[in-house]
Amino acid sequence: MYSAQITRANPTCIILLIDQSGSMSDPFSGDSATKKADFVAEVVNHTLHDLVIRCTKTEEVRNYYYISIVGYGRTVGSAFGGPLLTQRNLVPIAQVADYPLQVKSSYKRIADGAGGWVEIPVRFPVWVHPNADGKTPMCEALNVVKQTLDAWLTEHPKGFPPTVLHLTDGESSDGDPDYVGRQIMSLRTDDGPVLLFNCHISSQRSSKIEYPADDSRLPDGFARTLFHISSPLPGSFLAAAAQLGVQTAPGSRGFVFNGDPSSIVQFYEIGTSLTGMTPYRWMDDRSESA
Amino acid sequence: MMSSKPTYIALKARRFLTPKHEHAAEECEDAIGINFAAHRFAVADGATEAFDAGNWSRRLVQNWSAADGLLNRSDFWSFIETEARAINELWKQQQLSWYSENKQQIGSFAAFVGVELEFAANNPQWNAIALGDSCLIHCRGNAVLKAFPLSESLSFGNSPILAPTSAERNFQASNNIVTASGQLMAGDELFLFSDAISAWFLMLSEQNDEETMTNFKRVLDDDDDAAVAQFIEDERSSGRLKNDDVAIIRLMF
Repeated sequence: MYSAQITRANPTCIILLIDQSGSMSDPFSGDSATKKADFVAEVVNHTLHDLVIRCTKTEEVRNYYYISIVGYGRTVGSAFGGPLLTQRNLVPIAQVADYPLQVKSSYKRIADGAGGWVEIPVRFPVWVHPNADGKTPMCEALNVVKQTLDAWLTEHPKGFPPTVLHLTDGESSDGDPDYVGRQIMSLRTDDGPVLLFNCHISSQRSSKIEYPADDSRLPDGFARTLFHISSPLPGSFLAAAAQLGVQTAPGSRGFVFNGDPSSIVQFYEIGTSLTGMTPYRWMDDRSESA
Repeated sequence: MMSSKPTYIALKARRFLTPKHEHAAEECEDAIGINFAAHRFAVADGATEAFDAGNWSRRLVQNWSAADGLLNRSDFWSFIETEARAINELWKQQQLSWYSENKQQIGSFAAFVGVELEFAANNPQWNAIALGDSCLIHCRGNAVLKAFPLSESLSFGNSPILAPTSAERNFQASNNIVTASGQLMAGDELFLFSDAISAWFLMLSEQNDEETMTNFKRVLDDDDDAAVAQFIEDERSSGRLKNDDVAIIRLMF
């Protein structure tokens, strides 16, 4: 399982499911300057950048991945911005590369190999703007994801299983997500079940729980629900977590509760590591603005 | 098939290069360099996720084969630095999209193994240098006398240290350059392989699968690249050979 080679003829699907409810405009605990929605949008943009760069072969971007970004809050639907990608459920990575909302120019510092630093120009694309409005229609959003997966799996029954990375800061406002979550986890390709990972972030100063193998330390029913609709991390994802210095155990689920900003970064890095690809540590590359 | 008759031991060389399954030939990122007159042979394997990996690996094998020496760590690292500066200059002349520009800043990486044969003395020998997981395998019959720099099929991972185009930022790679040498006898064979076919060949040796090894050599005996390609495809389909580019140089004495 989870060993199918990802190629242009046999691509995989990655769905980023993002809570855009009103509470996402609150800051993280202990960091009143950073709104959760702003930080999540930044991480999503860096994640898309990383996925594009992985698929870049000189001047060509190969369609190894098809990307969906589903936002839910006042509405449920594609969170891609701009006229060419908005309203699109699933976008081949080459089109993601070609149609960002904007490309920002900046500089980043890199080691010069002689103990110093040099600044080099970089361009950072933006696909997703922060959004925080409305309630938390998690079930409706998961149903949209399921419909996208149903269509994908009909056409790609043998590929590396799709990955769904769900980020939320609160409880569902439209019912219990357990049923549709389990439905998603029951979908599969010949190479294994769909991977559904959940990252819960919090404005409260509570201790975070990352990648547990059982639900014994979880504080409440909502946390246990998210745990039970989180897939166990396959071996290659466990290896990626180890490379990032994240502690896991055999049977660890792709689940974070009460996560902080660093949890979000690691969640996306681990969740997009797929077939043993080395996680791209974009936090090491954060730019010094021009 | 090329042949020459150096001092007293005959040499035949056979090369074969093929891309990953369902990839076009121009997408192959493995490369072969042969300078038959100087008895210098090299294989490089451009990292799949790197920028312009095919050109980087081709540049390394072509220019190393055409040069003299470069068989000690210091000289070889200087060679990599020189080639890295040259390919970076070429890249700077191009107008690139944002993604190509960002990818180019990460640079390119390639595994490399090169060998020079020495026939002048009474004891013919090979001298090799390597960085990464492309391998030289010295065989006598179906016995593996030496496999270098990796010697076990399970040693092939996904993150070997490779020859970088950003050499100034990856100086630690120079610590991973290794050299080796060996004595040659009539009937010996040297193989230069990229990583997937190296791991596969060593697995055959570890499993004492002489039948497959003999079949492999037999299919290489003929000048029929289509037959070799079919053999490779069959082994990929069986799951024993990873779907990766394949570069082979076979030197028969």
